[in-house]
Amino acid sequence: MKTSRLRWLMTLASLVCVMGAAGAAQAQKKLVVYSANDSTLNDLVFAAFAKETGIAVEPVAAGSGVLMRRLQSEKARPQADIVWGVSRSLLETNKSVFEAYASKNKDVTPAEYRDPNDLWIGNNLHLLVFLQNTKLVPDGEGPKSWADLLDPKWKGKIAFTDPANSGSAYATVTMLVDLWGGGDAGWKKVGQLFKNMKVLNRSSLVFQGVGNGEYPLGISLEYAGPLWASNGAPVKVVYPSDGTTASMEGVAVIKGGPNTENAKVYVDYINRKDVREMILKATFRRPTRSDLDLSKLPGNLPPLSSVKLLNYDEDKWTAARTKTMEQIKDVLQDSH
Amino acid sequence: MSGIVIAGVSRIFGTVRAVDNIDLTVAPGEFFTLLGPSGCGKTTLLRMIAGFSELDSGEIRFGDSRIDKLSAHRRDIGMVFQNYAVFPNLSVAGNVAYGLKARRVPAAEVATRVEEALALVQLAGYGERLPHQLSGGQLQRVAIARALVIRPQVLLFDEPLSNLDARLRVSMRSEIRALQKSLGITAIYVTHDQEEAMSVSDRIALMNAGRLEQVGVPAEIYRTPATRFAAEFMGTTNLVAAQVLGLAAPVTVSLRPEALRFAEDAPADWPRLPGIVAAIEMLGPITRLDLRLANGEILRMATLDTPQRTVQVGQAATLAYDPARLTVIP
Amino acid sequence: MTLAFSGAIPYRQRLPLGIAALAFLFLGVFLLYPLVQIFSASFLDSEGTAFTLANYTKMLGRPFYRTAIANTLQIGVAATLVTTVLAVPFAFALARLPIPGKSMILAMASLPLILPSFVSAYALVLLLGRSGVVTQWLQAHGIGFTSIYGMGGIVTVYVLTLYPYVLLPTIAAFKAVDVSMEEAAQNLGSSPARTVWTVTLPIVMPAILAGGLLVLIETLENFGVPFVLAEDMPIFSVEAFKLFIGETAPNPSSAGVLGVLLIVTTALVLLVQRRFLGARRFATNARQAAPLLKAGPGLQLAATAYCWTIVILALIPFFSIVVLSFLEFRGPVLHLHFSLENFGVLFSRHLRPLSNTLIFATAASFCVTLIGVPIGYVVTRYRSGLASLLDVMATLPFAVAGTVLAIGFIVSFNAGAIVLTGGPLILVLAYTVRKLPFAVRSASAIVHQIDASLEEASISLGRSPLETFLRIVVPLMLGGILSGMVLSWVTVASELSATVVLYSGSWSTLTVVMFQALESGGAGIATAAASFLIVVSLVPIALLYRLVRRYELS
Repeated sequence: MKTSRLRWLMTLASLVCVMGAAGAAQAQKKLVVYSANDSTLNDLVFAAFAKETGIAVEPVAAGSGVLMRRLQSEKARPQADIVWGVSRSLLETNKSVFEAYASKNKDVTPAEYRDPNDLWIGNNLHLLVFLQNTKLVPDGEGPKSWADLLDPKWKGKIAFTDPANSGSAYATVTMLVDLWGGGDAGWKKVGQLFKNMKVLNRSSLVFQGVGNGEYPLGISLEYAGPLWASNGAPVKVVYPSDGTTASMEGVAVIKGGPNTENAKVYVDYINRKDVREMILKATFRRPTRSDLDLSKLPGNLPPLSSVKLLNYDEDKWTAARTKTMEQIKDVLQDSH
Repeated sequence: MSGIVIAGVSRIFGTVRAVDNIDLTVAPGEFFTLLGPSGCGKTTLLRMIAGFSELDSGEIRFGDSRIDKLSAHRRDIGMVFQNYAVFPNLSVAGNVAYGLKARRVPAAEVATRVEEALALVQLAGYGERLPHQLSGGQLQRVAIARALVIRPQVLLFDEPLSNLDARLRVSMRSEIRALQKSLGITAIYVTHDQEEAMSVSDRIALMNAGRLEQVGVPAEIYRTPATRFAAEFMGTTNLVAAQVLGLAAPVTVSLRPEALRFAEDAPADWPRLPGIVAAIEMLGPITRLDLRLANGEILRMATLDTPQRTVQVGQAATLAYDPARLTVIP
Repeated sequence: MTLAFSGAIPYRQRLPLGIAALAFLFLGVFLLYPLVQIFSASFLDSEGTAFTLANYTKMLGRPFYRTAIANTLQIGVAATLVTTVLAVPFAFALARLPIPGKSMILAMASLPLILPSFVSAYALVLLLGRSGVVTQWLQAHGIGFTSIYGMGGIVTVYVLTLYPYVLLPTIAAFKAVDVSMEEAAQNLGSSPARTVWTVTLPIVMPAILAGGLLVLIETLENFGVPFVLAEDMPIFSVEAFKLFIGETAPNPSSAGVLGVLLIVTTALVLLVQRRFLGARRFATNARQAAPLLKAGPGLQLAATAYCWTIVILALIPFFSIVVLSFLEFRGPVLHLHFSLENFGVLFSRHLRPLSNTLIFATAASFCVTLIGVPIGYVVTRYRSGLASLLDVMATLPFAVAGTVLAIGFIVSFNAGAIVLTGGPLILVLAYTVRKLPFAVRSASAIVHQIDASLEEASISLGRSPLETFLRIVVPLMLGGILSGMVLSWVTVASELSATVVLYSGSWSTLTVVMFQALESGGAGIATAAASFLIVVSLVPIALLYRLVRRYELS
């Protein structure tokens, strides 16, 4: 009797397996996208894309570190058609697995935001900003500049992401080294800043932390401010008065992917003006193309021309990544 | 039914010769016992016959067919274990039927044979019970029925009674002997209890340190032990240094306690030994008495209970012994 | 099997050798090969050609990583000790004292493992973070609690989520203690409390150790909890994760160093344990549960309160997740209004991941059982060098971070002889390898308690060793096999780190949905998915415990 019950359970289980496998086999125009974007953005874009083109997107969403590792491992037999939402430096360092395609929106995208050989093209820009929880730090009492963050009164109150796990955090640190005089002088001041910061493991923890009131301040990406504020959280964006930089995210076609033609359709689609507007309205991503009128769109994103931008040499710091990361770990160790 | 031949069998664990070049022949239908202290190799030898331990050398045959290279489950053996090894997940009937089903016996025949076997061990009607509802004695009966029902060539018993209480041990051993004789199956029985061995066996092989000390019928081993070990292991004995006429070297002789009597009860030609009573132990039918001789040696004597006689510790007494029952130990 | 082959190997060893050969083949292909692919970088110089240990000396020479190792060990040892001290009396109470609602307690005690640790951590921050609901309430009442971040918080979370690892095997062991030994001790004039301390506890020690070992290894490997709660305190597994797949400077050779260190540590702990267990073996023959002890009303009340307190404390993240799932989330922002919107979105958009999770968990737990139980049997019954090696190898997956194994899978099985990427099978296989230790450990614990003479009896009655294994050993192991299955089912359903690297297209799972939702701030969907997972898991768990109980009573 016991064995018959067990047998019954086993039959049931194998039945479930078979049904699941059968459901998977279906033929349709499709596109495999490796996306480092969050699911709000993924869901929005993939649904709209499928509706317009009839191409169903099979997303693999993960951190960009995971995605690039997958792409490199799958080089011999690529599984993906598109990689989307990864930083400029990752696009630059992984060019060998991309296929060149000149986007139809190439001409409205500034040259600095696309590869000269069309191996990748930028979609949106993240300005590096402060998020301020106005319930914990009233408007007007917060820091205005990177230099303000060095004030000991902010000790333990500034959330930041570990640069090892975030390209924009890495850009922040290296930009500040340059801003504060470069070399030892720059690193010394960065070390002071680290003494005030809580270095968290993932960027989402920073804006969640500020939004939920765990940390009064956070160094984060521009879009998170309006995203939380528009949904009712006491969050405000501060653009540092001593300057900042824009961290770009882009898209590339995978060389030898299973659906390359559909991939090209996607690259054209994602930078189209109406699509960028749709994305900005829902998720506040600042587009790379320069022809959108931000003042008529939600989020109060200031035009790029009104933000003080520093001259940040991304390529130099990308090349020095391994050594710089070790230096950052040492600074981190000393800041305790 | 077949006899068993064990020829030149050895088993070595590291540096220990657990079974050391054993030769034995067990006749068809014989009840043969491997007797010896723990660690003497008797269980290892039994497990080699059963197929649970490998041979380093030698061979084992059932009748004409060599079985030591055969997988244990193909040896056609019924085995009874010390801790019963009754399958706790099967009913009593399920346990007994287990070996029959392994042999693909038709279901109807299984049912009747299980019933017969249970009746044979006086467990008729217990078929539906589960093992945890039975007593130790009942569990061992189930184990015996399970081993018998497959009508094996050979029955192996591995200290089957040592987990039972004293009274049950005595009644079970005669039952086992009676069953074996009525079915005529060749049996090998392992025990460390010499009394149990003598009561059930046709022949006994006394083992020590991996070797055979003596093989023979129980009376022979008891009465004429071939070695000092045999004399001491088979019950109580007096080992006395003696000089045999015509031999230069002194020898040891064995004198069983029951070969001694009080001088006044003994025939006149029995040699006398005077001494002081050192201890008295009243065991019911038998009284044991220790006599300290003049040279300080203790002589142990046993006599049937004799209420008329009053002997006390510290008294002088004279014992006599039957010279015919002196055994010289080589 | 050819005649020549079968003649060469003693018949008694054919079954264990056959099982071991298959196991080594499976583990060789699906564990060692991928790991070698990943870890070889740590032994090579920067050119990737010559063998060197320089990476090791360099990593261990850096204060940052030394701090990380020290922190991790400190947390692991503390969590293991506290867990053991709390769980053993709990197990004793459940096994031997009259306590109301035992099945309920048991089912609820398996639950903490179902919640992916990143979800627990999220819930705990909402409750006990710096601005957490509970924190603020405590502070308003003048209690100086600051927050759950830091070492104390991490240890607490580990204790409350990992205690089932010690609890479940120890209950089984307490039940299997041969009562006559206790009686013997009491006849010798030992008081009941002294008997438990001096007789019962040493007998169940192997089970306690086995459970404690799982806790220790899990704390070393887990990164979901410290990822959130450690803030800027460096932790071994988190740093290894970032070195492997960090966005900015992935460093395979340095990452490999940390991975290899973790594996070596685990193997050492395992061998020590095996040595200890090898010295003391105990078997009970009659499968009769030890009787309940008589307890005064005071003791009974205290024991009941104790058990329920632990169970309920451990389930606090659950309750809060369930509550949260019925609240309104506008984007990432929580508003305190009742809403069914979260579930609406979950069921309209994420049905497929939901069914995937159920399919994967079920398929993987069956595979784990089929492969792990024979291994557990062999490594316990046969004590040879080969068996020790197999034991260590089959437990190693525990020490391998899911991410690492997954990357190894992709590197190894994307092209060549075995191609698995892009389908569901690669996930099931990865889960099977990762959760194999559950089946091996729980099977092994049970085999320790089955008398070998039962198998010999069956063989002498004419059943081959294989038939004997299937007809006698497996039924006797059923309780342990099923609880191992529950553990693997539950932990597969909550697996994230390997899934996120391996899943493709339509083979996403519920944990991936939760993770992405939390990342994008859509916590509502995450909480709804978690609540649903809890409810869905309760069913098989309750079912299995009923089955086990019925089996044990029969």
